[in-house]
Amino acid sequence: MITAALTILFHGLAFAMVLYIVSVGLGITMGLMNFANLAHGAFAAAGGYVVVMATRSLGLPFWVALPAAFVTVALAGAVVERLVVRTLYGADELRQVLFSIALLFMAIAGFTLAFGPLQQQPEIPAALSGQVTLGGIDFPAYRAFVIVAGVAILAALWLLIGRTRMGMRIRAAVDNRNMAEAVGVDTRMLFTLTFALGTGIAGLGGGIGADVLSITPTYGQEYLVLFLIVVAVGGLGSIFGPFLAALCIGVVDVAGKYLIPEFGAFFIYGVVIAILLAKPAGFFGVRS
Amino acid sequence: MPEALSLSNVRAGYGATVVLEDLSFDLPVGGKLSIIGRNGVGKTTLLATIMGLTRLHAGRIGLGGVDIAALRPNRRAHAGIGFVPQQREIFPSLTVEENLLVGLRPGAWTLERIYDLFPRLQQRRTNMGNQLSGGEQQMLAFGRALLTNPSLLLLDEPFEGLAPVIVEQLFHALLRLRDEGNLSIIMVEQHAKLALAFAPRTMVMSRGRIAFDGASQALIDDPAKLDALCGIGGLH
Repeated sequence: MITAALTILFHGLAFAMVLYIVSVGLGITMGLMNFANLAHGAFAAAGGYVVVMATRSLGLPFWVALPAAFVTVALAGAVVERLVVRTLYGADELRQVLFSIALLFMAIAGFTLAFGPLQQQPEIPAALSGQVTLGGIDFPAYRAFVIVAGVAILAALWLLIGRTRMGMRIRAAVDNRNMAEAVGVDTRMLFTLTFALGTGIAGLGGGIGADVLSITPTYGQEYLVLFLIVVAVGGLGSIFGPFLAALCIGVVDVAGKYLIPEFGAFFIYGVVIAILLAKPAGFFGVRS
Repeated sequence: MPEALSLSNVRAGYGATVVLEDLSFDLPVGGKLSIIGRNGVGKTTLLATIMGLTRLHAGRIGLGGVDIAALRPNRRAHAGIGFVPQQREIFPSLTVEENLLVGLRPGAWTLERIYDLFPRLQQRRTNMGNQLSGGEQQMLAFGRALLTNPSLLLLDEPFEGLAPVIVEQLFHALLRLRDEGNLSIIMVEQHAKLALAFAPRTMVMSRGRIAFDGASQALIDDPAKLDALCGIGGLH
């Protein structure tokens, strides 16, 4: 019984951390820019492909491939923000949704063309290929790494958002964009940097989480609802809210599928509905 | 010497709606100006237009001789405009000290000077912006604008909704600002008594235009004229 509970908890945490790493940037950009970026998952998939290509085709170490995924996807995010997304700030939700869905489908077609339709796996370093023993139970070392990475990214974001001048400005702009401008904050530049940061972290999440959420061309479409749930339940513009939401969703989903598999994803959506009825702006959201 | 602020034939509003019609006036460096008028005549829109938060349909806005009409609000803040909005618009996710520091630019105004002007803010420095009373929020809005080290300070109804004792404290702080240094100040205010006592020059607005622009003393000496311009009971 305890072994089953610990196993559910461990795998639930690993799943939760992947959801968190991919989704947190979406929450920040949606909170800051009011832009519903349904193509966010495509940036995560792009990060996954960068790690796959870097480790398998180029033979680069995994530890080099991960920062490469972050930088590559962040740069791509900055370009997309400057060229297209910027024109849609303040546009109605339908235009934003249609644009980002179109971008998502274009990315899916592009990934299929470039990498084929099949699932891709990055080359995992030997140190993470084995098992770790926790409480007398063996767990996959890679998933332990995913959990540690999720917590490390939360801590890094907390430092960035909570303790730096840039973070202070992001929070101010999330609270009130016009007033932030009126005290001298260049919100356009801030939007570009934040969008790049959010997509870069998603790319990192795609690479780190490839073992949990498989990298396929349809990644961004397949897991989109999960990413949106994490953001909606966690709260727009928050970094702790999505962490808490991802923990709830990850552990409940794994527990539900492990204990009562015939219910499928029933529990996850039940929990989401209950939370959003009680807290429409999510756990830590500045607005719903 | 260029004017601190110069508006020429300004037409502005929100989207296609025009609120300000063909508005022109100058403010010398170090000048103080009070703006009064009934509700909805465009006083707040005027300050928002100077700050760049509305749509400018026509006209020129000069700051220290430089045309700023095409600049975004953040560039206008860097050019020297400090803004205290009507609703204070404190950043709730930032602490009091972060609210003060978020727009900090080098200059005569430092955190220490703000804490000297408003000691209450120092006591509340670690509180979040949304944990303050109305008076404290107004002090914070003042301090936040001053720490951008502006050459022109725009105050939009700074005493609205505050208890009389707080109004008195803030008004004294404002008088210190008026009498120290060479800061140009425009204050929109519903309390005519405070507005007229604050600045030697007062502008009365009506339907998006300037109905009166002259010595405050002229309105103090002629209450009937003041009532005619602003409406009995419309102002305090």
